[in-house]
Amino acid sequence: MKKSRLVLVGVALAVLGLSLVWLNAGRAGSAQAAAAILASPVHGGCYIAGPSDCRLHVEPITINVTPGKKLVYFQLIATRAVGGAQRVIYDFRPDLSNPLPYSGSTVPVSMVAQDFAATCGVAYSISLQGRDTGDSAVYNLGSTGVFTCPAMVP
Amino acid sequence: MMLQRLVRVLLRVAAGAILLLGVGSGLVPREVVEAATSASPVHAGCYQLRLSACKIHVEPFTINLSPGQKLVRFRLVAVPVGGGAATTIYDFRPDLSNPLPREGNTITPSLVAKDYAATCGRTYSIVLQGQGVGDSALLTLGSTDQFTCPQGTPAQFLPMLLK
Repeated sequence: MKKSRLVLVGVALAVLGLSLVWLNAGRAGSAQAAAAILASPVHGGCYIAGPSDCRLHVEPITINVTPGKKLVYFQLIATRAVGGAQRVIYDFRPDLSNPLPYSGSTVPVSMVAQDFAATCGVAYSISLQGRDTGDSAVYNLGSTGVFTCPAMVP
Repeated sequence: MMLQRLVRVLLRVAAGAILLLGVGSGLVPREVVEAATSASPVHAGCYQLRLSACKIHVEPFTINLSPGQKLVRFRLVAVPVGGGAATTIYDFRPDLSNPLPREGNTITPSLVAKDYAATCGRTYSIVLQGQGVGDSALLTLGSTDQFTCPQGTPAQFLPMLLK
């Protein structure tokens, strides 16, 4: 009687443990599947290049388009933290006849040569907006936190 | 006898499964919690671009984070020697939804295009500060020794070069 109870408890614990592990694995899988396909992170900051000459530096970006679609355009937008005024700092269009990407679903974009002009002492965030041939509107693909341009030369 | 063995095996399976679940969900700590960002060396110097324009050049650096951590921000600070306030010369934030690093534990930011403005003749050290999601504030990750920005015109150095 005692032995059979022990067996039952053991079986119950084993089933419980294994089903919890299975449930946990299922949860992790569904979180990965929910990732946005068009998300394209943007990372950047501001530095002082000269007296009253501040520049926005954006790390190399990779735009992820929907598989089988082509990039229509992307823009980098600088938004002032105070007041929220927005300004397009980079407007990019691919070739009309042979748009990007040539293959695959990612568009790597090279860095500009001189970085982007900014106003010293002002706080900004940078957002990346883009549209592919499957989109009816432009989408916000990524956005940085707020950073502040240096006010003066050290 | 057989039953006892069966019970032992079943109990082991149950214990193993529960332990696996505990580690996976973070209930069982994998390691001792420490600063999210760790020592990240920074190397820099100063050069003269024009008569009265000097630039600080910072070598490509790598920010090291604890496994699983993400970067909140980093900044480069110029500390003038012999008076004057420390000044942030570069303030950087990663993407809010997909922060850095995308994978692994290190971040190597690209070089800025124009280098950083400096005052000719002044002596500086450069400090790299960073904050990971596990840090409550910015931490100093690395610092250079003092270096001095050149001053004067190239003609001033000609007699010395002709010697």
